[in-house]
Amino acid sequence: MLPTVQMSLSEVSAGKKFMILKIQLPPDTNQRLRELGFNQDAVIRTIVNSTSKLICEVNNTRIGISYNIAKNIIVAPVN
Amino acid sequence: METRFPKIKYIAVVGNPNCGKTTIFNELTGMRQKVGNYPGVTVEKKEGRILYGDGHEITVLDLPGTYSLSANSPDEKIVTDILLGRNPGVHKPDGVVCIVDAGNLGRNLYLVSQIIDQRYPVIIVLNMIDVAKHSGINIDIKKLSEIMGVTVLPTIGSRRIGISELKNALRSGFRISPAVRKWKLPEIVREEQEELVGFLVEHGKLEEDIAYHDAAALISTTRNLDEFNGIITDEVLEHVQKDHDRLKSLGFDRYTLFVESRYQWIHSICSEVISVGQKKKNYTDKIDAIVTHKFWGYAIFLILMILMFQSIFTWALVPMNLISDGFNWLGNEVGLIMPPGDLRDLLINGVISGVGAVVTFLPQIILLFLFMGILEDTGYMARAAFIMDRLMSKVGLHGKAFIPMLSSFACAIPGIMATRTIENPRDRLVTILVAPLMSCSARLPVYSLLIAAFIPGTLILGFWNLQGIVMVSLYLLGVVMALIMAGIFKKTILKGKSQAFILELPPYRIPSLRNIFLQIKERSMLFLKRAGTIILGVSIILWFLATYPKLQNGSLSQKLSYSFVGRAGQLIEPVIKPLGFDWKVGVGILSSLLQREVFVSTISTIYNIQSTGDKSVSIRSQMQKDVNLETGLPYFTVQTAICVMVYYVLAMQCMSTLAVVRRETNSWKWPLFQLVYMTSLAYIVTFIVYQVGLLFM
Repeated sequence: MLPTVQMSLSEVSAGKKFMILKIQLPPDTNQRLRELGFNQDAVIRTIVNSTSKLICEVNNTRIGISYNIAKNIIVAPVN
Repeated sequence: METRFPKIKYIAVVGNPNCGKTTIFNELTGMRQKVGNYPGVTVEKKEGRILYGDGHEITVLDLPGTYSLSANSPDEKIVTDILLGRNPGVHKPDGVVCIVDAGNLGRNLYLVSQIIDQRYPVIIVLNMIDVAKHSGINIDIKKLSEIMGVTVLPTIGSRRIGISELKNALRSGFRISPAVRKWKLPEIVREEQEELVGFLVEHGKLEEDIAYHDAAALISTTRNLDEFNGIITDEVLEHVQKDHDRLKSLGFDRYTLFVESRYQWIHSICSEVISVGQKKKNYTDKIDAIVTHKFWGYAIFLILMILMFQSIFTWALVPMNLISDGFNWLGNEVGLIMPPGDLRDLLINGVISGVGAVVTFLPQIILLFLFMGILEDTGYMARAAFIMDRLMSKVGLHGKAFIPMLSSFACAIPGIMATRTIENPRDRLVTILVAPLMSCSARLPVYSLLIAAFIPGTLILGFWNLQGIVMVSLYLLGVVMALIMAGIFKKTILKGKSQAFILELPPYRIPSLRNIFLQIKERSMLFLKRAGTIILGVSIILWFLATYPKLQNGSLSQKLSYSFVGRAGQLIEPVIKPLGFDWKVGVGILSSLLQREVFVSTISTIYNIQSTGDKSVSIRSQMQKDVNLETGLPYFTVQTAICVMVYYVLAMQCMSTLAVVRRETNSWKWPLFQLVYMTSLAYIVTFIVYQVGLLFM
């Protein structure tokens, strides 16, 4: 069952946990993100969210991504 | 499958970036390292040896960090090619040591599973097990070893824990994992892959393991199939195209299917072996919030840079004076022992003063590499790239391109080699083209000499030394010009969309002094080697050219202008006169075409010959005292000094860089282009600075 609340990763505030639902990016970027652990249903935590980029933690590792990428990662909050 | 591999002699160390791979490699091989180049390709090859008490020897190959074997960047392609036995200059390793960051088992196992699928005998090293525990991650090592069917060893590379166990395991611990290809693709896709594997074995004459890798790569490729024309046969291409169409019609996302399926298997392993405990307090979040802050981040970066350059200037002075005194002492001793004549002259004014002038700057170079090493090792460098992405994206580059540029402050050669992590070939080329505009350590001697001689040490606002400010300005000039040129290249000859920014930010760490020391040693030896070879040679030739033909009567200055050097300098003087340079600077520029620091030894040789040989008068004061006899004005003024420095910021006076660019771009076109554009840029900017300066003088 799909969670009801969906948002893009760029809209979320820092310090919360989210589950990845969809990545709407070109195949190469999509593939790379998945190799880095941005898998389907993976849980990520946002650490810093500034206007142009954000840092998130996935599998205990920090990854910095640009706003344009974050905008196209669709997530749902997890408790 | 219980197989032992006692004959393993050549092993590769493989792992994700930031998994502590280099530390393990350094601990294993210590001082027995050799840096070379892979023949035909562009990457630095690092090999070391392990010698056992009984005479047994194992050679270890340190491969660049990679996340997968799907070869996105040139760095990753090297790893993939070597592991698949496709690199003509390196034979396939007998076994692979997979270094795994214990704190991120999942992602690291992704690469490991690709390697075991190649049926390599492996050993898995769970590195930084202490850091993992600290963040509440406990791994059941025994269980992991059972599931994977291979030796799994915990280590803490930075504290040398587990290294001797690893050394022992290298002799008898390699196993081919029974978990080969245990991950599951959807049945239809698996059949497609198997069919393609068979086809590749039959038509492409590939070994089965390699065909297995290639089939997956071809099915999931994000590149256009046209790009494979000429690399693989038409029949294979046709077959792959059919596979693509079929998977699409069945509704599969072929780009992500393989990654996701492999990860599913890995997640199931992780859930069996990892138990999550209490996470200890950690300050990384807080530090990151500050160092990547939109105001404080830049402020901290700037303060670090200023601190770095000021300390290079102040701390290095003591050892520099010692070295310089040493060479002066040596010159005096030789002067006392040897009878007057050409040979004594050659030794004192040519060899000792020429080589000495350059070697004096070794302490500054060591300090620069120390700082760069600390920035890199603490994890700050990636943050700097992160905050700089905003600036870099304005000129169409990726924040990642900032790391090679920052490394180029030390030397453009490692800087250019660091561009191998950039995936987009155009972005990479732009970065290669502009990286040498960053002021490298070879420019430092030129700046130092001229600043010390001509810029007063006045304090501005009570604490900022004018000399330091000029130094920082020179570095900034290089950075600004690099950004401007990058912007121009991205808009003209190397158009293209810039890559999206994705960069791992490693956890903050206490830097490993041993790693930094090894790197400093390597670079210092290279610097000294050049001083002992090229600079020595140029100094001797220059002494000869500056001494002959001899004018019997006349002042020293007249004698010099009568010599070959004087004549050559006067020949090019009309070209450089608009820049405010006299023929002596011209000789300096000519002689330092191959490498910049030769300028200092040349100037030193010229002024030593010109002087009465009184060693107590330094080059600086001789330059200040050097007066044009016709006009009565000094040749060298503050303005000339600034112009020379500006010229050296921008000009491509480095043969080694051109050679590396040739290798990295695989053509002469780009290094030649770089030489022409940088020299023109240097000429134009210096011309403007000099002519504008004249208006104010």
